[in-house]
Amino acid sequence: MDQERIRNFSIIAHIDHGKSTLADRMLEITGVVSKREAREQILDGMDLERERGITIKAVGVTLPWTKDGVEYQLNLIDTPGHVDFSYEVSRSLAACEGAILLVDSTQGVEAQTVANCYLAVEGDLEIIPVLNKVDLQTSMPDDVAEEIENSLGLDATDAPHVSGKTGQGVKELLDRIVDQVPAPTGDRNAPLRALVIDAIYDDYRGIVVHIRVVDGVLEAKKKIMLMSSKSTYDINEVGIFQPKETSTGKLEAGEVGYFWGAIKTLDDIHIGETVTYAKDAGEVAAVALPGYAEVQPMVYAGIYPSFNADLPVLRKALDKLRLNDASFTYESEKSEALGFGFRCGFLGLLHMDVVQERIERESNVQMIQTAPSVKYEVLKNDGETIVINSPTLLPDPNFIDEIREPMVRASVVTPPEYLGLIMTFNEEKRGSYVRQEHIGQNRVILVYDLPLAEIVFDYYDKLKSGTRGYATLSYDVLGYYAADLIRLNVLVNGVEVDALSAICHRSVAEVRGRDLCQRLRKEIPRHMFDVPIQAAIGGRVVARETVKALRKDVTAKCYGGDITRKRKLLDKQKEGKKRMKHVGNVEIPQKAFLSILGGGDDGKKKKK
Amino acid sequence: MTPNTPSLSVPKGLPVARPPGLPLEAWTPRGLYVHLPFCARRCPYCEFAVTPLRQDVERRYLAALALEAERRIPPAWRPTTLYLGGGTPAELTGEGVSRLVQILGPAAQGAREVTLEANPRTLLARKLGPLVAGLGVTRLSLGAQSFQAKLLAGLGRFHRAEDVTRAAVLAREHGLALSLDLIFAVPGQTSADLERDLDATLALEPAHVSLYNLTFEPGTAFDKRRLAGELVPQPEERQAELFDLARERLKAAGFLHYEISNFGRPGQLSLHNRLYWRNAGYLGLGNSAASHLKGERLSNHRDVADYASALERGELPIAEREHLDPDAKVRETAYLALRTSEGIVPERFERDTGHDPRVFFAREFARLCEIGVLQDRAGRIQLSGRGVSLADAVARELL
Repeated sequence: MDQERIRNFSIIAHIDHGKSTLADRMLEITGVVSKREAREQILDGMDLERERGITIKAVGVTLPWTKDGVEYQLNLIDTPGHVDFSYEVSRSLAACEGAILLVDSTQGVEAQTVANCYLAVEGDLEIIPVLNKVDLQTSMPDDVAEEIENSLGLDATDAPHVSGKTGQGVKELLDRIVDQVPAPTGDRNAPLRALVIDAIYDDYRGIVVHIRVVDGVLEAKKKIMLMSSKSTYDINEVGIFQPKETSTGKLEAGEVGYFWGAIKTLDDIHIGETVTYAKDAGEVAAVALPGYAEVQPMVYAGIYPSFNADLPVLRKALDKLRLNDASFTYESEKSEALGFGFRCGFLGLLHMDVVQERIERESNVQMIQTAPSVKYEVLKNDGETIVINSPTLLPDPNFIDEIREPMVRASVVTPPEYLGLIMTFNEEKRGSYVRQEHIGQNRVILVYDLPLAEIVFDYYDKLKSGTRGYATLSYDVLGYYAADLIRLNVLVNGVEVDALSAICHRSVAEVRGRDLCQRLRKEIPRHMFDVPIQAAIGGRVVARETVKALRKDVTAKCYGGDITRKRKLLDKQKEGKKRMKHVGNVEIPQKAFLSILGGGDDGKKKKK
Repeated sequence: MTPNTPSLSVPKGLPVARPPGLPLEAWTPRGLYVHLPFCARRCPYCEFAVTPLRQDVERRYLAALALEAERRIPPAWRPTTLYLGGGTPAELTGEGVSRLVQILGPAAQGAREVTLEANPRTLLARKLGPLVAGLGVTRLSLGAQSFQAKLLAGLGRFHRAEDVTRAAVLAREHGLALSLDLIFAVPGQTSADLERDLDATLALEPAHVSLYNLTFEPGTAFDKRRLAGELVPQPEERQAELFDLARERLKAAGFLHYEISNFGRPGQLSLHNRLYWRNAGYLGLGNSAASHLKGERLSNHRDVADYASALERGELPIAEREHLDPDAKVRETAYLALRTSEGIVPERFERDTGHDPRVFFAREFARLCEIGVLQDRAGRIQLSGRGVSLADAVARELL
């Protein structure tokens, strides 16, 4: 289609502001899916995403739309709405000329609204603020419009009022997209340049690559080249999403769609890659498109099979997961306490949760996850700088000149009554104040620089519970900064348990050590002997608790010679012990390995 | 007769080669247990297979028992011990007593120890007399439980302290060794309460005392009340203290603490129960009764009607069978032996199982000794003083 009649746009929003519902209405109204077909939230393809109401992967879909008798092709590129996945937002936005900034008119501007809007501004996109959920009684469109103007500097006076649920205002919004979002301006006669937006593994076809064609024309059955690696691949099929893949034979500059061919693994292709033709298939582009920085995992945790024999099954599950999620990394790791397992890297806590749940669901492997930590830079006194992703890798303090930790700039959007509480909390978390800004009568943005480790530890849960869920958080990584960090070791019955050690700031080490010992005391069952639990910095014990020895564990009777029954009872009790990990003479339940987390009871983070 | 009838061959010496991992005594059954399920009423903490006494049920039951005895007791077999448990065997009707004597009389000939369980309130001379005369009862096991009204009421017992005294006198008149059952760690029980119970117990000069820690067995009325929060078990620490108090008192009074819950004067230890702990062979008759025959463990239908119906149909009343592999057998033998003060006697253990326990359990023993719950002293491996209270925890290490 003529570029003049193409519009590429994304919807950006804070989680739960109704992005997927609006997208579904757009699909329905443009006739891409019938009402009958319209399942709830079609774009969230994965079960887990639907359950949690989050979008993880970007998906593009082509919508036909006629305005004033002219046919247009609107390409909607979906974006994730969670802080963990902001890099995916930016890469979706790179394929667009415009963005709908969707704000729930019953809630107002939230942290991710701001963060995602900044990404769109940086990407030089045309931004259309849209007020959603106007069908609800609690909708306050005027107040929210004012918030948008105050916080984002966007004119929201004539922002469309829509309801993704009822479809109200959606047609008008589609017209607005035609009017306001600029058409793409690529050169169809230039050599092919297509931006890789995403890549999805498929058992039958290998990698299905999602692309935006910037210049030239991509045709099926030709050989393409990836500009960074110079590797070439034959491609079989080219098409668009409607929302299922529909082969079109070619994609022209300005269009969004997919291709698949001989690319078999995600390691062969990088998101943000530029695709052009191989030498013998067409003209080779001279300069690649600006890509994006490779995404780096921010949070690391150990994942171990509950039963050692499951190690191969777990490895297979991780392999499979990685096929579809290049942002997730893993490497083999051995723990004294837990045996063989994997050190895994995640974008954030939600990502970690999603990965863990997916492994358990898809592979049926029971596993132990250790408490998450961040990546540290260590300057050794021989001048070498190493990067460690596990507390156990921290060298002896005698060899360390400096430890640096990742800092983030965290923005919290909150009703003003919680300001004091959040500021106190941020100070406790070693934060330093940056600024605050009133964006509406009832809403403040508070910006602090904070160590990422603190956010990973328990920040989010405490923020949510302290503000009854009203405060929202987003953050950007600033870089690494030196801090007075130490390794807190845990000894159970005199044996150091590597999987329980943590890196933390010296000022909080004692408090955290005490807290940790108390948690462990509750988790570790009583044994036939006293089990001391100690937290130590180097050789200095900073906290101690004792799990007192069992005093009585004996059945009085033998049931009139019914030895079988008695033994079955003992066997059953023993079964429960099998799931525990043995450290020296002590049996530690798997749950205990998460007790190092400060947050919720079981360390699980629910939908954010 | 069904083809799978396990007949109990009469041992004339050892009939066939004994398979490894099977105690010598398991091959040659020495004991006979007979379950008599009738009780005036069910005690709220009890989870044994009991049923209210009704004459028609008793008739049917004893007819079934006669069938089972005929099927399973070989004509010339003479067990060393006979144990009449329940239920309350002494609660049978006069007619029932005669029938029982008829059924078991021949087998009971020459038994060295014949125990009868009885309730202090319902034990009557006119029942005891025929049982002593017909079956050669030598021991009376009396469910005293406590001597204090408030604790007896708490336990749902309907007898009084005087009943125990009366029954003890009756036992003595019939020349029986007296064994008293006591229950401790009853909710609300103080150390002084237990002291008083022990005083009263010792005053009756029993030959034997069984001291049972109250447990809340699933399905019992007590357990339901516990789950509802109406009954609060004594804290573990407290239970251990009460146990320590009682065992010290009994030891000081000249009793041997020869099994976790059992104390006896020298020469008065229960021979029958020792068969269980030695992993020896025994035959159990009646509903819910367990047998250990030629290395196989069998248990009968729990329900009286199921039990009787099976026999009436011409079948054996066996509900479950279990055949342990040799390794499991060795472990079971060890854990049972550790319940006794005798502990594991290496020579006998090796003779019975084919394994030197110190080799087979080298790692486990080393760890348990280090922890201080086990000791290897004077040629035997035993639970330490502290270990006695942790016997189940130790057992889990060995199984």
